[in-house]
Amino acid sequence: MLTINKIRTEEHDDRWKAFTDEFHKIKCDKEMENEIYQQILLGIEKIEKIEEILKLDLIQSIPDIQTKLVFELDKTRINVSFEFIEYLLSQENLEPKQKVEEFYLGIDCMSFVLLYYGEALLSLESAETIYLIKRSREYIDIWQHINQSINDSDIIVLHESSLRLIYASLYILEDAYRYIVGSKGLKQNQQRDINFQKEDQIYDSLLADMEKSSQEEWSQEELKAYEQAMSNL
Amino acid sequence: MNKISKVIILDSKPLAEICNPLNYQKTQPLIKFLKDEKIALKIAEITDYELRRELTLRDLHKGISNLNKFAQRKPIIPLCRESLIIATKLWADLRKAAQPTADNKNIDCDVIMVAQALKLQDRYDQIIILTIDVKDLVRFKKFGIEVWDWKQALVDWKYKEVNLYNPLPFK
Repeated sequence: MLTINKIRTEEHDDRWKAFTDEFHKIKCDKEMENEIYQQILLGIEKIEKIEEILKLDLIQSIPDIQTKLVFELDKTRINVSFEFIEYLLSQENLEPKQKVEEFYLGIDCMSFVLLYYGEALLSLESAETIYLIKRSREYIDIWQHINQSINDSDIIVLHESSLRLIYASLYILEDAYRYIVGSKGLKQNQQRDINFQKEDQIYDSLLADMEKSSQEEWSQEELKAYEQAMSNL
Repeated sequence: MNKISKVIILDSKPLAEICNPLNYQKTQPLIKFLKDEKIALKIAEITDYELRRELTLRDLHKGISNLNKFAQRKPIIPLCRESLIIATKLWADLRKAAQPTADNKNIDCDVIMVAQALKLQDRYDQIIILTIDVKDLVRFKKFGIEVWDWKQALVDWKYKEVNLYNPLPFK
């Protein structure tokens, strides 16, 4: 099990100090705290899925050694953060103030995971990573917002921002997951393109049916009855 | 082309809206947008049942005929035992988490629809339910189901976008 000190860096220490100075003033919103925990759990599930894919297929299939190294390094960071979040969630007997401190640190860990993970994916330089760049920028914006909130001592905004941060993190993870699945399944995608030709035909028929139906005359009673049917759905 | 393959599953109200001939001008561009974006469109058999029973109750033969035409195009996800077993797990999970989508005595069609949708996970990267009940259905996000608000969809096609429902928008 990891301890807090093990994963601290200098930059992290500065930020941690800024947080702890403010935590004394925090009255933790229980509902929001629970929501953050739930989101962290979701994040862990996604990390597990990504890890599973990385271990099984992706790293083996990357020919470029440098990219492979970035992924390996990233995987290590994921493991560290994963263990830390696990530690965080196992702490049931913490005082409320400590608990708040703990999950802010957990969020911080998630941030490192996601940034490094995003970097690793960006190194693959493909069109799909545009999504990730966009997401990472959103994420950095939110971080800046949080830092600003600390300076302004605006605790309510700080709290809400953390929740937003987790959401942003999950979106990046989701994109990363889809990207990896996408890379793995290029051949499947080509097959899907072929399959979509059938879907195209279905759409054409559907649109033709809709046009034909729109020309049918319905009585006022029928229309009224249809509205009633819809209101029961 | 976007390599992420998407499928939209219609909830009962959007399905009824699409089958309503009065709404043709409103819904046709949306269907065309889905076609152009290569987004597959399907309905779960339980959703067909939900709408069909209301139409049958009122002897709305033209409405049933429209629904039949839609179903004949084979976008239906058949209801099978496996889906019902998944649905029972979802049903119980939601109640354990105190987040039911319907009364306990209600058959809870939403849960069955989601279970049917989950069956498509092997074939599509993204599964989106088009609905008016976004707040209920967003609870299934943790199972990999995305939600698209019907009203939002009627705006999104104009901008060639799919803005999924997010319970906590960033900006």
